[in-house]
Amino acid sequence: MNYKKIVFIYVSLTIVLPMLFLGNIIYYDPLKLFHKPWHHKEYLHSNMRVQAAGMLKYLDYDSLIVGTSILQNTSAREASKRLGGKFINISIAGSDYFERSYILGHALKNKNIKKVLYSLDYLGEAGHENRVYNYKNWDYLYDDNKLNDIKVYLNKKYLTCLFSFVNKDWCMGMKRDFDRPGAWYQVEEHIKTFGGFETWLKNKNSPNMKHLFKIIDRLLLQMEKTKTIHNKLIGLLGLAKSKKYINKYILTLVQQYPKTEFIFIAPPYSRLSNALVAQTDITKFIVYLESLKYLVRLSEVNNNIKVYAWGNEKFLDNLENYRDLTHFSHKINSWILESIENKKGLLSVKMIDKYLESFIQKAIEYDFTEIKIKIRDYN
Amino acid sequence: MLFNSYIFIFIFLPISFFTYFFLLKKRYIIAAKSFLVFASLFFYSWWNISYLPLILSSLLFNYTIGNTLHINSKKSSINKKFLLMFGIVSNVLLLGYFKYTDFMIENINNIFESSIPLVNLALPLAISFFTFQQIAYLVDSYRGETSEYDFLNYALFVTFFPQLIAGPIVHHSEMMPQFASPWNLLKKYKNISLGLFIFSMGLFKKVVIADSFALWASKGFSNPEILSFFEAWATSLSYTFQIYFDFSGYTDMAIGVAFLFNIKLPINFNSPYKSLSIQDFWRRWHMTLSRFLKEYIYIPLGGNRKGTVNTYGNLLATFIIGGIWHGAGWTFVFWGFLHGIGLVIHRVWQLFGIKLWTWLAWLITFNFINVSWVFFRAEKWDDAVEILKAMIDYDNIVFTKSFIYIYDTTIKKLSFIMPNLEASSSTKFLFDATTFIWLGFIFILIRYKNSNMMISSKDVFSIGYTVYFAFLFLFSILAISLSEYSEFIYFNF
Repeated sequence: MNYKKIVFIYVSLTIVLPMLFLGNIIYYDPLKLFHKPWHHKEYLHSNMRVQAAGMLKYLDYDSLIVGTSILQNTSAREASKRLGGKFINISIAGSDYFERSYILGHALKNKNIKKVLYSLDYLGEAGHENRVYNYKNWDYLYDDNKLNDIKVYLNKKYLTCLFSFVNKDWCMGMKRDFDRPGAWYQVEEHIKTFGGFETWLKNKNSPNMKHLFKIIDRLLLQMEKTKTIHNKLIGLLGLAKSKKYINKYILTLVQQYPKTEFIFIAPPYSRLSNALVAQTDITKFIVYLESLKYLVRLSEVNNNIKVYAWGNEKFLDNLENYRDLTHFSHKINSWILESIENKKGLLSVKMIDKYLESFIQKAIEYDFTEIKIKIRDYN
Repeated sequence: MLFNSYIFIFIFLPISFFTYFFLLKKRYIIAAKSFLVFASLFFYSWWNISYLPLILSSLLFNYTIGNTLHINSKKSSINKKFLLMFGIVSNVLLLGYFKYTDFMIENINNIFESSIPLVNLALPLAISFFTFQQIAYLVDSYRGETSEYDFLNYALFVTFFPQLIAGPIVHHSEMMPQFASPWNLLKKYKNISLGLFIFSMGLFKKVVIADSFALWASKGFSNPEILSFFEAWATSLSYTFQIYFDFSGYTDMAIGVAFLFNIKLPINFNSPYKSLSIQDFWRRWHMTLSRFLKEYIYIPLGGNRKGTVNTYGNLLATFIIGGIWHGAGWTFVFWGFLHGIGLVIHRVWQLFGIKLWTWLAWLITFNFINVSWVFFRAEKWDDAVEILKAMIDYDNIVFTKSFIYIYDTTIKKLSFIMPNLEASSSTKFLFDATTFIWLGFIFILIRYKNSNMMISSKDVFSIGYTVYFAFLFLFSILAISLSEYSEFIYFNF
C-alpha cells in the first residue's frame, strides 16, 4: 500500500473522529454549557457543581440563591416576589464557601447581580477541601477559558451517553422544576423522616437515619464520659482561621461588588443539633458564634451585607420541623423569605451579644433526658 | 513536557516536525539540524531552565575531551590515558554529586551518628542517561573506535529530544552515521507512518495500561502494613506490569517520534516477561542499558576472562552498579544485588547441565523478577519486607478487609450519601486490579507479536492496521484527560 496514503488515512481519522465527537458534544451539550438548549429544555442534571455553569449561562436572572441543601428548597419565584429581583436557585448540597466562591465569583464577574442569598453553613470550619467532590473536577467551568469546559464531558458517563444510540434522556439529566432544581422536599425518602424524633427512630434502619443515629449515639456517649471545656487557645486559633477564610471567600466578593446586596443567613438548625455541639465541643460552638459575630461586624462597615439569624425562635425546639438534625421543612424556607422581607432576624452589632447569649443558654441548658429515654425505650 | 501531554503531541511535535522538514526542503541543512538541537534544548528546559547550562557544559566538555582522544587515538601515551580517566571521573563526579550526595550524607550520619545537613539537590533531568552516553563516547574515542564527528551532529546525538530524557541509551556508532546521512534528510512517508504507529502504541501502553496499574500499585505500596495475601500479590504484580508498560510505552513513543525524523533508535524491550531465565531477561529488558553495562563495566572489569569466581564477582559488581544507577537508596542496591546473585545462580545451574521444563523456568524467572521489583518500588526497606511477608502469609487469605480500608479512607465519608459504596468499591477495586493483571498476562504472554515484531512486519502497512493505530491514538488522547497519573517512572533515574 502507498505509504503516503497510509499517513493520509491516519491523519484524517485522527482529525475527523474528534470532529465528530466534538460535533456530537456541542449538539447534545447535556449541561447546556455551549448554547441555549435545542431540545430537552426542561432537563437539568442534579450535580449543581457542574450544572450551575450551564444555568448561569442561559437562564434569565439578576439575583442568586447560593446555599447548600439547606436552601435547595427555597423557591426562586417566591424569593423574587418577596425580596425583589429575578432569582434563580443554584444551591449546591454540601458546598463549602471556597467552592461557592468559584461559582459566585464567575456569576458576579459576568452579570450585573442585584442580590445574593447565601447560607452560612459550616461557619467556623474553614474547609478548603470538600469531603465528597474534588473541586479540580469542575472549577475550570468557572474560569475565563471557555474551551476547557469540554473536559467536563470527557468521562465514562458522558462518553457512553453521547455515543449511544439509545434514548438520550438520562444523559440530559431529569425534568426539573427550574424554580428550585435541587429541591428535595418531594423526595419520598426525606418526606418519611419528617415527624419528630419518634419518626426518626422508626426509620432507624434507613441509610440516612443510620448515619444520623451513629452521630447522636457517639455524641451522647461523649457527653456522658467527659464534660466539654472551652479551650481558649484552640478557640482563638480557630477563630483566626475562620476570619481568614471568610475574608478570602466572602469578603473579597462583597467588597469587589459593592452594588450587589449579600443576604447571609445563619441556618436555623434544630436546637438538638446546636445543643449536641455546645455540650460536646464548646470550643467549636464558640468559634461558630464568634464567626457569626465577625460577619455582623462586617455588615456595619459594608453596607451591602445583611446578616440574618433566627436561632432563638421556638420552631427550633420542635423536631417535627426537621428530617434530621439540620435539614428543615420547606415551609421554613418560605418563612425565612417572609422574615427577610419583614427584616425579622436581622442582626446588628447592637443586639448581637444579647442574641448570642440567649442562643448559647438554650443550647447549654438543653436537657437530653427525654431523648435518651426515647432511644433506650426504642432499643 | 511529557510525551503524553497535549502540549507535546499537538504543539511541540508538529512544530518541530514541520519546521525541520521545511528547512530541509529549502536546503538549509545546518539550519535544520541547528533547529532540531534548539528544539531539543527547549524540550529539556521546559521542566526547569536552570538545568540547561549543565547539559550544555557536559556536551562541550565531553566533545572536547572525546575529540582530543580521537585525534590522539593512534598514539599510545600516558597523557591519553590520563585524559580518559579525567573525562570519566569528571562525568561520574557530576552524576555522583547531583544524584548521590544526600545518600552519602544520610549514610555517614547513620554510621557516625553525626548530623551533617542534607544538601537537597534537585536531580537534573536525564543526567544519568546523557552521562552514560558520553562516557561510552569517551571510552570509544580512546579505543580509536570513533570517527571525527562534527559538533552539530554530536550535539544532536546527545540532545536529540526523543531519546534525551529516558533513553534508549544510544551509542554514537549507531546515531552519528544516521545524523550525517543525506538520505535521512528527505521526508519519508514509510518512516512517518511507522513513527505514527509506534507512537500510538506507546501512548496507549502508557496512558491506558500503565497508568491503570499505577493506581493499584500506588495504593498498595502506600499502605503495605495492612495488605492481605491477595492484595499483596495484586500490588506487586500491578507494579511489575506498570513498570513494563510505562517504560516500554515511553520507549515506543521515543522510537516513534525519532522515526518521524528518519532516525532509527535501538529497541529497548523484547517481551522481557516471556524470559525463561534471568540471563534471558537481561537480554530482553532495557536492552540498551544491558549493552552499556556489559561493554563499559562488565568487560572492562574482566568479564569472564579471569576464572569462574572472578566472573561471578564481576557479574555481581556490574549489577550492583546498575542498581545504584537507578537510584540513590539501599533498596536499589539490593535490587541490583538480587539480580547479580540471580545471574550467578543461573551460571552455576548451567554447570550442572539440567534443563527445566519451560513453564517452570518461566514461573521461577517471572516470580523472581516480580519479587525483586518490590524492592525497586518500595520507598523504605521495611515497606518491601511488609509486602513480601504478606505475599507468603497464607493465614491472611482474605479478599477485601484491608482494601476496604485503603480505598475507603478517601471515600467512606460518602457513605451517608451512597450507603452501599463502601463494600462495593473495595470489592470492585480488587476485582478491577485482578482483571487487569490477567489482561496484562494475556497481552504479554499469549499475544503473538510484540510491538517490535508487529512493526517490522510488512502487514502493518494496511488500512486495517492504520485504522487500528488511529483508534489507539484517539483512545489514548481521551484517556490522557481522564488519567490521574502521568509521569514516567524512568524520568526519576
